[in-house]
Amino acid sequence: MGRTGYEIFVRNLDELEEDKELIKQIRDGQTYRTKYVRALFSSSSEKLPNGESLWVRSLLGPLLDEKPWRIKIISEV
Amino acid sequence: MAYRDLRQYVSALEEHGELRRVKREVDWDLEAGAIMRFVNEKSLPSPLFQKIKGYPSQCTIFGCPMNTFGKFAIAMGLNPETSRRELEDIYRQRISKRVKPIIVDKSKAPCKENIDVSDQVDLFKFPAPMLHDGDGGRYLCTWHVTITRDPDTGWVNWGMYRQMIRDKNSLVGVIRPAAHIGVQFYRKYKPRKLPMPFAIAIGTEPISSFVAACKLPMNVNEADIAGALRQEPVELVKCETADLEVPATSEIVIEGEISATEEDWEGPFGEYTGYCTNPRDKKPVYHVKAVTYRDNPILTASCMGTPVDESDIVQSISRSGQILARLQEDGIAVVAVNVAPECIGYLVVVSVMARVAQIPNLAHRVASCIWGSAVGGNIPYVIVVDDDVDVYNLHQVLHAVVTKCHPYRGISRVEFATGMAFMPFLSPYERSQRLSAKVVFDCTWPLHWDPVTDVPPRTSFDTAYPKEIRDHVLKNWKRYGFDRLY
Repeated sequence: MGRTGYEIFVRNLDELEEDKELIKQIRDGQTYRTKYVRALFSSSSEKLPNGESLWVRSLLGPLLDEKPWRIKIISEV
Repeated sequence: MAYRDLRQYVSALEEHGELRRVKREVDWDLEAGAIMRFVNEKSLPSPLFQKIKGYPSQCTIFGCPMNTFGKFAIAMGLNPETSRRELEDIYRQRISKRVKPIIVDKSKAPCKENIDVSDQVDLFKFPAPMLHDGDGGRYLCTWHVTITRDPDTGWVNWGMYRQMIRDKNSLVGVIRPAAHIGVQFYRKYKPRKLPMPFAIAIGTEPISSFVAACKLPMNVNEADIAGALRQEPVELVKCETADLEVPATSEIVIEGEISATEEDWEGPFGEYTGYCTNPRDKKPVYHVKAVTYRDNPILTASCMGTPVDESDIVQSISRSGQILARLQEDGIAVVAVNVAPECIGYLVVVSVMARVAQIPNLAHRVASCIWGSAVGGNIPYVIVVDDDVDVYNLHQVLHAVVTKCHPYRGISRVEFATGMAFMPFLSPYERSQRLSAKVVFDCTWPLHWDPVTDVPPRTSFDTAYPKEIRDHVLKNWKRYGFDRLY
């Protein structure tokens, strides 16, 4: 019943600076297992064509964007 | 005779028509939570999910374990039709006679049928549900007993505090500083940089979990209270890796240590208020050293949200009785107290014999007494009514508010009160600092009003007709063509 890809909780979308390597905790959209990753984030699939889906939630739970962002995981931390 | 374990309680619920065995496969990811939420909101029989997607048939989830007063009555060994007032009277009578627990040998403890230690521990073995969309994780512990000990006094606290799975051998959970576990952790263990041993007992017999959720005074051993309510001692067994004892018939026991230094992201979580108010934040990590469990373990789950669910039933029964006792100790002419289950423990209605007491501003005296107590200190709304109002009938209570509470003189607000981070009406800043306010609604006729010429006579069936007319009407009710007396 979960979502394909990953999920992340952020205070607001500004926290996901695009085109910049960030270390964030994400979780699998279906198993909900978490991990810390170094990754690139983008709101557009064109900018990260090899990226995976990333659903962005507010710290209170609801989705901040109805469309998934993209994440390119560089390494696990 | 008390239920020895959860399974006997489940059977009793089934005998009373308060259980539904869900044999269809259900997904632990939101589907089980949605079913439980619907059950709570419609006060339906409790679901026993017997087939969980991705899990062997031996793993089951028992949802909504005590979401109605009828189920609480069954748990107490009483008729489910027992009235609210009678339930609270019985509750108060029983808890006055504490019954200490007994320690049983490991060989007699069903919770030791399976023992996983160290690398064998895998919390994903149990079908922890994703209860609400947007929750921070899979919450394994939502109806359970968290057991911790004060390192100096030896006092053992039982409490109910949510914990979610962090990874296969750790949990993360809320520890409020004002909660009893928080007093132990933040005042004793954390300053000394000592990890706090814990044990979490899931799927206990019903009264132990109920008591863990109650707001009881500090330094009280909840195991004694559970024994009192059961009228039999709780059977405890020593943990494998911690110097603690757990209910011997628990379905699942998790043992370990709460780190004094390590924290990780936890939440958000749809809480008992019916809202999700606390943002995801760093909370203490529970490192798990051992898990013991019965064969075919049953995971209990409480899907909190808009009332009425387990949280509301527990608050209502335990707080109403304690507040009544507190007011009586203070010599207040109190008739009845209702911590209304519809109001998530945030509103208490108190009926008083104001004219008999002849104490001006009695409503304020009542509110001060409640707010000065541990059990009522964080209840923001106090409504005081005359003794002709049934406190359990919210229609009557609302009627009293709008007819007898002066919109200006009858409402008194108190600033600078201690709040709780879960309170939705607080601003995010106020929640973070636990700043709140309180209010008392005085719904009693002013004492200086003449009862004959100033107090308006009530217009109701009971007051607007002579007794002979009322008796005549009720006696002939069916003859008038009505089917039944409603």
